[in-house]
Amino acid sequence: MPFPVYSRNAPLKEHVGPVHVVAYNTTGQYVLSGGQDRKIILWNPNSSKLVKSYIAHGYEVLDIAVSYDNSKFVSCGGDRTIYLWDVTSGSTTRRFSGHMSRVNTVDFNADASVIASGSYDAKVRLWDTKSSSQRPIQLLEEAKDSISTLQIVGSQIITGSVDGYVRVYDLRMGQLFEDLIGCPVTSIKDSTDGACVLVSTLDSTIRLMDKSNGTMLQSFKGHLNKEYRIRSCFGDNDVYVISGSEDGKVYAWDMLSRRVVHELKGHGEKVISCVAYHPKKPQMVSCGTDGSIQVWDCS
Amino acid sequence: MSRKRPLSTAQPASTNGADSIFLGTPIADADQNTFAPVWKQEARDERGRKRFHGAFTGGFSAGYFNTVGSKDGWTPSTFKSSRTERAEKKALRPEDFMDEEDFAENRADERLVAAAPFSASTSSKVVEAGVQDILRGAPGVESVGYELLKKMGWKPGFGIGALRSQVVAGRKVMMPPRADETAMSGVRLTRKNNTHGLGYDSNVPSMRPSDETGGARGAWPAPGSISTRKNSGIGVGVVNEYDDGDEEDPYEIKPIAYDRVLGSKKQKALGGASKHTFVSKNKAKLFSASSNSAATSTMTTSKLKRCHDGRLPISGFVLVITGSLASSSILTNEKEYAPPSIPETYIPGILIMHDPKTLITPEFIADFEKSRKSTSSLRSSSVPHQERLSASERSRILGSAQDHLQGKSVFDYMTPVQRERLAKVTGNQQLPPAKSEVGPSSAQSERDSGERNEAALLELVPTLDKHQASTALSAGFMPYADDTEKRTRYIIYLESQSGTRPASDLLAFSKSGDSDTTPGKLKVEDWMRELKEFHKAAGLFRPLKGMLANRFTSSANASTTKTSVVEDDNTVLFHGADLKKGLPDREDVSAAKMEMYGPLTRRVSTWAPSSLLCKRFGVRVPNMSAVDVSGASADLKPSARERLELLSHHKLLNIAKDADVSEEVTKRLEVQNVNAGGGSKINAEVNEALEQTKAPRDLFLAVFGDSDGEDENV
Repeated sequence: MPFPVYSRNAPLKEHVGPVHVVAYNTTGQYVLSGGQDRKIILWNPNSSKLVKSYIAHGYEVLDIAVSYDNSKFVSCGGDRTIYLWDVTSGSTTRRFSGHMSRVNTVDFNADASVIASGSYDAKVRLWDTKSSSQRPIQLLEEAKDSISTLQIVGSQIITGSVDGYVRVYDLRMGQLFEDLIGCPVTSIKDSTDGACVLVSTLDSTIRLMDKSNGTMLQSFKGHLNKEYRIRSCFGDNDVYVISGSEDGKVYAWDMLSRRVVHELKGHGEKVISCVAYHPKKPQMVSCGTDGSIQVWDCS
Repeated sequence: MSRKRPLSTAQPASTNGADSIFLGTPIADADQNTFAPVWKQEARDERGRKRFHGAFTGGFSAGYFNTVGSKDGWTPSTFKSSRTERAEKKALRPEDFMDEEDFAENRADERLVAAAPFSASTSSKVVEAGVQDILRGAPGVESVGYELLKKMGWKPGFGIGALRSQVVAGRKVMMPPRADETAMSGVRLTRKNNTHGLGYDSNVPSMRPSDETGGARGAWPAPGSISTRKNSGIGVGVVNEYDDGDEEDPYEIKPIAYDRVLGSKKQKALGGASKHTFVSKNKAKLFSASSNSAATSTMTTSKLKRCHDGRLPISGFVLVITGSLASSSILTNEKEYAPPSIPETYIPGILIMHDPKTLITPEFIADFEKSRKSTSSLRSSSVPHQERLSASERSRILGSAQDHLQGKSVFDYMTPVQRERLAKVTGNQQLPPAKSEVGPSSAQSERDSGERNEAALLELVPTLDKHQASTALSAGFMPYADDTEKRTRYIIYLESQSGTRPASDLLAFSKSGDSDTTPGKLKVEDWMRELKEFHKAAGLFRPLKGMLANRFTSSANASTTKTSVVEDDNTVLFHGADLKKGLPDREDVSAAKMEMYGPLTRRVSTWAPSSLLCKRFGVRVPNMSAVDVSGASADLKPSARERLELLSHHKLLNIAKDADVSEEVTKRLEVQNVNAGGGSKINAEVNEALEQTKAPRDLFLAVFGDSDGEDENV
């Protein structure tokens, strides 16, 4: 499928200040974005119109995750709290607090019964949405430095930390696989088949690591990532590897050949912190520190 | 008679067949739950305007919009304007000017008197009323008592009491008493017009009012003592004088009489006795047995046998008057004890023992007595013929050491002039002669004892083990870096102790006497202290061994010590955070740098998810015993756990063998053991132990079946 290269004329500028995260819902109909202005905005990427805004955070919003049924989503940020939202009502169903510093990343498990949150305090807390307990189910303390990113895939929890390790907690096996990347990890994305993991690190390199034995399958270079958390993702059924960059361009590589296939300018030389690919059709959304959210289409 | 309401008036009993009857009227429901909300309880007048502006503190002056008064305002309703309507002039009565106080005064003078038909007679003298009088109620009305008596068979004209036999017309007839006499003695039908209490008997002396005006001043005044001022009333004030001229001021404070004693009159009357206590007869008998017979005599006097009201004490008790001799000892429960028996040979007096060997024999005592009688003072009394003992003699007798004095006295050292002065001052010319000697603190004496002291000093030097001293010497570090003299002394001390120097060298540093003023020498005490310090220091400053020596260097000779830090290969000292900076020594870090990702960079360890977490994920809790360890660095944990598993497994095997279970089972256990420890891949989802096929039949029989003659391990 062709790669979405055309940006819309009018990028969404509802946010004031840098936008830290964009996420599609499971159908791809809506996009949720959160930024420095403590707002979370639900909007329609096709019409570029704002649908709803969720205002509750006391500090910037750093990550958003949508549940499998699109009825709720979870957000985290600088106020050390994880907010569980109901999409339609726009109110916070639950709040989880316990982290000692800003929460960098959150994710749901398959049936949205568990929320995993990783924080600057080097701990991952696993929260139970079904009970009304204030304490996490479990605490993962193996990391020595800030958890920058995590993802729950099936019965595995994959975390990436600034201490240079990618840790895969396998619940089924009862094992922990720690792979030393060598450089602070900023982004983790599991592949569709679950065999490998896309790891972005602060040495301007994106690596594709094999989960089973920890070997590196592929590396992607060309973009700039030295200081900020830049997120990367797969595109179009793992054909492409897409990442933002600190030089204001969206980079896309072909996964097999590791060549840079596209360099898309869209955010005016500002850091592009997050990219998200539509789950079904060739559409892409990127956000940057200029406060704008760009939708990329094929035509 | 109480009239019961007929059933018909009550509610019909057809209340669902129950036998309940409602009596009374139920409370109206409207009255219940009168708790109205606050807004309903606000006070408003008929126009709906709010009342009680501000805080209502009681009183109703704020009724009319915070003005005083009434509906009509300040003007009273009885006011009639004199301009238009002439109000009639009211004659002012004295009552108009009187207030509550005045009214109270008047009320005090009021007396309650029976109304005319009820007053017995106009005069106030005692009327010996008969029964008729008492029973008569209001004229024209028969009192209830009258009726009751009649019902009980009494006829008016008769008295009240039991029937008495009287002779009437020659016959003995039982007749009720006459009207003017009653069979009840002690019951008076005369009117009581005094303030005596119940049971008052004027014959009893104690009941008579006491002569002192108020036993406690301020007690109730005797009735009649307060003059009922006939002159009081309206128009008479306190200021006015009385006609009788005898000013009786009830408020006058009489001077305090200090000679009053409570109940003193009674005491005098009864012969000095005040309080009466009862003592049981037995006790009194006991007391009478004691030597104080004087007291008992008083007790037996008949005068005191009775209580003050004339009555005898209760049987079994004897009256004892407190304050008397008798009472003090009886009442205080004292038992008298005989004094201790003194042995006959005891001689009171002080004995001075000068020689413990002297036995106290009767002869000795006799001598002692004689001497005591002869000499006036007891001071030097032990020896028969006395001389004044001097101090030295006494010390000799006592056997105290005399070395330090050597029999010298102060006067040996005094000059004759000083002696004269002393003699003049004290007036005592008998002082021993002054010899003007020189005291022992002179240098001469010191010189003589010098050698003696040296040896003594050397003895006091703390000794060090030779070996210890030599090692201390060879230690690279010498203390007292800032005091070179002290250091040299230390070294000399060490050397003397190790044998390389004669000990007498140490003495070179101690002052030989007060006159020794050479610098660098110490006073003896300081010298001693320093030596002790050196002794301790020698124990501390030993040479460092091996690695420790490498760690520490002295500032003076840094060049001689090693600078590198030696480390073992196995010790990894740095924190994970240092990884960011990338210490090159670690294997996996270097591998990662070279992008040689794989077994070198991977670490596998066991991780236990909590059961709730597994439940949420829909995953079975993983079996922790089997660990597939791959990779270069195998953690200790799994292997240790493995070993534990094997151990317990071994135990299981043994137990199985002991229990005489069939071999098949043991085989199965062994097989499982092999499986677990063999390192082959374990499918965590399948638990073999649980999914085993049923045990063979003979095992069952062996365990649960009847034992037909088989050996059973008891």
